[in-house]
Amino acid sequence: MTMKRNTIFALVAVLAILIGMWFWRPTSQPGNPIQQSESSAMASKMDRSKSMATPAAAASAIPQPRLFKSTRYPPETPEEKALWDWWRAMDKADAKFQWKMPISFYGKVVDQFGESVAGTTIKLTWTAIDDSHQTEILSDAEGTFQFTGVRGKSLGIAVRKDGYVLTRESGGSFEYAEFSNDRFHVPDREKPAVFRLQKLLGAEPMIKYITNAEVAVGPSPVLLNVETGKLGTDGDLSFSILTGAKRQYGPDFTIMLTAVNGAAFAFSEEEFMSNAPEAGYQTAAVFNKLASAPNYNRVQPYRLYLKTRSGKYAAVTGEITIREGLSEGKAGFHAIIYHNPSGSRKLEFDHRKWLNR
Amino acid sequence: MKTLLLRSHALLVAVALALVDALRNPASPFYFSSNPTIGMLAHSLGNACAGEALRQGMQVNSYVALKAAVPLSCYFPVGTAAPPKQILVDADANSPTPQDAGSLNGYHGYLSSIGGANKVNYYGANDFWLETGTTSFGLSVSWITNQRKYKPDNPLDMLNVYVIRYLWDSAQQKAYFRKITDSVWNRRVIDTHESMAFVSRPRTSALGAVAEPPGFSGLDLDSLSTYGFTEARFDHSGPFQRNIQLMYGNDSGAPWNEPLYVRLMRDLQVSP
Repeated sequence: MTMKRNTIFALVAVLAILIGMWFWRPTSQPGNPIQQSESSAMASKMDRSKSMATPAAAASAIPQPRLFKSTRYPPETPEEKALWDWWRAMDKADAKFQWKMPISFYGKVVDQFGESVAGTTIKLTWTAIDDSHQTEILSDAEGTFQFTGVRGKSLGIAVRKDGYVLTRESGGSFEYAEFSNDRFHVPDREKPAVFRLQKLLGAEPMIKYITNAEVAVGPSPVLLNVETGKLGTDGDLSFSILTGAKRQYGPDFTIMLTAVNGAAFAFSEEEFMSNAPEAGYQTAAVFNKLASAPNYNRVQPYRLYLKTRSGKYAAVTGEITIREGLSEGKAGFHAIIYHNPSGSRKLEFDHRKWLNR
Repeated sequence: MKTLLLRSHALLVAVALALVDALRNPASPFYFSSNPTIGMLAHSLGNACAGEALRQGMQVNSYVALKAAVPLSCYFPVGTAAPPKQILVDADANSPTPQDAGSLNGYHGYLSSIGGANKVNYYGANDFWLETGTTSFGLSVSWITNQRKYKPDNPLDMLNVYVIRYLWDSAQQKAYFRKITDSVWNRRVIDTHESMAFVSRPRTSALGAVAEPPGFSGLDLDSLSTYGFTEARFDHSGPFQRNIQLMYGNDSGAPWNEPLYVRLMRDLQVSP
């Protein structure tokens, strides 16, 4: 019995020592001892012994400057320096403070006309001290919503509603601790973040094709038949791909695009290619890509309206990728075709009216 | 987890060496054709292995880096600027480590010469493990935190015990393992992968959290109108862990312009 009691006592003593060591541990990397003197390490230990506060309590005692996005480093203004001083002090006091920041968000959902969208589902995902979390809320009659009362580092937002299509502005990710991050967000109830949805206005039945193929590089053209989605020797659009001098990240290359058999095309920069234009079509274009250009890559995107050889309309988007290495001499061909077989210029796509799904 | 991440880096290099000619050497059990189309998909830290294999001369048709847990700066040639992650730059200002590949055994430029493949980066700026997340029980599991706080590595840091640790002497530009006295060191660190795993701190985010570096094309998985990945923990491995429905369309059931699997097969050059 005494032996058992002694064993328990020893275990409790060991546990107490371990807990003590945990609380006495330094809260940050000691750094390079070549630069860190023994006296400063000792001072750090003494500071710790004076204050046995928990990391969270120690962090909460640090005054917070006005937070704003600041990507410049090293900091130059007093306000920027205050941000970094705060960051370092918080990090030293509580290494996980980033995941304990208060999160609040104010948003508004509008359509392509700027009209409020009520009853939108707002999907919220945030990272907290223990994991990621998700919930959903609805926008009110004014299209606005707010989310408060949780703590974390990053908040992701995605909005959606039946009868609407997602746009590039239908969501985003917002940072609450790392002010030097491009995603850093300062909530403002008076200026809610705006999210956009594209309202469907009465789409007609459409045909959609996804065409992926590998084609040979060279003067022989490859033809895309927009009404079948097939590549071959007969079609509406002709692509010729030629490569030139090779540099570190790939070759110079040229793509000659020609509308054939009476077809014509018009380039578009719209996010949603909902209505083919009545005029402004052309039959030939050349893409030149120089490997010496900044931000060069081997991908050439294209985005165009097409008046087919049979007088119908289509929206065609895609890209051509020049292959390298074992696939040298070939190119990847990609196209997504939205084709209205009725002859109408309306090209809005509603997946519920997808004829060949 | 920290140790797992750091040590995994070193172990993966050994695997990479085995990959180099496994598919093209007739003596290899994995050999199946004299002229195969080889598409390589690597996820997260697996990209350390894939990158090393490519660097050692592995020949593939395509390489898809999926949420790669490898510093972006690896892919920028030494002497060219890579987009910095300021909190890593700040951490390095306080505890310096080597930056450049080559004689300093750092990250920057280490994979800048890998070529011969169509390289695509599938990235997400809000990825849980690479940028925004952490987990409970006091384990600070986060790629950025690892780089920020545990380089040079000191496994017994929390006990303030320095018998096992790495150090960078910025005056001499040399890395050491375990200081015994001020003038006596256990050994110098001369192995590149030991240095990258335990000493060198990148000044950039991971490749899987930022847009494409030189030589790559990119796919933003976070883009809501493309594939709608979030900072949820499971979305780090989303392309093979999400509900299958989300590979084809969004939460409302509306299809993506191009299903993610179709896009992946396209980038891997797998015939439809």
